Amino acid sequence: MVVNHLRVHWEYLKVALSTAMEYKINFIIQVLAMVFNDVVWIIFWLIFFNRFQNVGGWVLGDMLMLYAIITLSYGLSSVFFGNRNRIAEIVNQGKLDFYLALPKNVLFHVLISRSSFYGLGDVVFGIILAFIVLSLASLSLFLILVLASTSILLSVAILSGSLAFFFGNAEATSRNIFMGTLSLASYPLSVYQGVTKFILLTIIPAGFISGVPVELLKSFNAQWFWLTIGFVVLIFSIATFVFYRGLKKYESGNLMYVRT
Amino acid sequence: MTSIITVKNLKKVYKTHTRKEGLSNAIKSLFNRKYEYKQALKGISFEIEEGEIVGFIGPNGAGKSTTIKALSGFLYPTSGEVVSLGFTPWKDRVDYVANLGVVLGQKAQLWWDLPAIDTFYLSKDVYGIKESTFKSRLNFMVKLLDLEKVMHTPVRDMSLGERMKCKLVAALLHNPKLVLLDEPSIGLDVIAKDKFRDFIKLVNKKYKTTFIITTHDMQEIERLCKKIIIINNGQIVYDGLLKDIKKKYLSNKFIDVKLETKGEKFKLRYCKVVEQNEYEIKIEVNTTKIKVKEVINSLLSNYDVADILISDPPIETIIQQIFRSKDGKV
Repeated sequence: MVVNHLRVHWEYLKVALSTAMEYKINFIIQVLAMVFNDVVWIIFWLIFFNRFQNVGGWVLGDMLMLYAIITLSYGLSSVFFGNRNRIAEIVNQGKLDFYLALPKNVLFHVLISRSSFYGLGDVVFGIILAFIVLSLASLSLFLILVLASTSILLSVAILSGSLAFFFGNAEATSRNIFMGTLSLASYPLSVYQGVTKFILLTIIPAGFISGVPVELLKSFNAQWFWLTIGFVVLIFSIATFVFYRGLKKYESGNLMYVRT
Repeated sequence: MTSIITVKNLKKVYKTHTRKEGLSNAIKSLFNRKYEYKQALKGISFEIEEGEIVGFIGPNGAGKSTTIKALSGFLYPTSGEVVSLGFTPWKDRVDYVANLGVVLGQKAQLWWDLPAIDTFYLSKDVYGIKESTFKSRLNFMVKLLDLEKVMHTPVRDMSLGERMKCKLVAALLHNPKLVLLDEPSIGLDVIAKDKFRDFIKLVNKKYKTTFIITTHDMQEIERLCKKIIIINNGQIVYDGLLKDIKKKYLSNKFIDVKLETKGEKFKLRYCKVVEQNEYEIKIEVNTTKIKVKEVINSLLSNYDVADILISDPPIETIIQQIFRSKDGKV
């Protein structure tokens, strides 16, 4: 069962790569754009920390660590679950029929059936950053935390995408929720205090995507580590539950396509 | 014969909201939204036996697609029961669709930027088809449908007909017991349609595959289906053999006469002259009022007849009559 799903995932990755090769100029430009985007961000923080040295205990190294985690989890989820931000569109336009007609887990199938290989730009960038700031000793912890972040990002995407089941045209809303969460996650956790911090560790799980992992890598704390893992399990369960709840309301659609 | 699909009292209600025209009403509807419940299926029941090709006919909005979607497991019906291949489609979806093929005429089912053969290989993995079985089935279908060359070009460069054929292949690779075709021949030319129909007939014969087809093309129905189900306003108005509905509903016959020598204007009670020129007469006969034999006798005694052809009106005419009749009942 699991092996079979992995095999299908692998085949889809191959198909996606062949598709990317169909438009190779576009592919190269997108990868470069991603890297450029990341470089600009780094330059910003280099200038910032050159002037202020630290933000609530966070120094440049911590910021680079945060960015290593974000780019890796964003990039990995783009490559392996490339449809994560298109759930709302797929539901809203009745394209879910295609997946429902095939004997695979619907949510899994939707997520993997597309792959954004330009996410590789982010992945490579993240790996380089990790090489710079990470000690070999914390490598395994780093990998676990990257996987945790990836799962949370995916869960946020599933949750926001599932809105389309309940509210119809939710494509823009869903995208904004995802990107909003992501941008909240790209600042040091220490800038958030009190209620804001609490919200970022619960309703909007931006804190668990990047802030908490960085704190854990700075100084390990078993309690926060297990809290993170627990949170991953919780939010992923909720996301899947909401998706399948929504699926019961799915009414397909008769949108006419030129593509058949 | 054993029935492969049993549908009992299937109902589906869609909730939509309505508002009057214009911006002010659009804003009003933000705060006070009026909902409307549309009964797409008002409790339909039918059975389908193994190895049948069944035509599903109805005007737009009659509930055809909703029925097909419920049978495919795409949506949860409001109430009612469906047992198809021993499964409830929306509950045992994964196990069910492993034995099901679906072709949606209006929707994309192939990878747009890749050659169709890549989609076929993906299907192979998604359904877990063995390499040898896959190869032999693919060859069989590809040969029949003339796809040897085409399947290696990207789908986006294919013609509509080629794409439709490839969709059919993708839906049949795993040798499904049941295949649902939702307007499969939409947009195809006459030759492509012909090939398509021959292919379906052959698969039906060779593998005992059951087909359900929705279409607006009555020729397709006449060529393919022995049994038809007519649905109108969310209710089944006819469920039976195609030839029976003809018998039951046919009160008219057409008689085409060719003459050796010029003839007078034809006149007989209960007969309508549809067309008449010097050497040809076309008559519509009301067979409930007058026997065809009587008309023929009259023709033979009054004209120098070269040839006579007696025919039924096309099935379109019958269907139109049903849809136009007030209660829509047969």
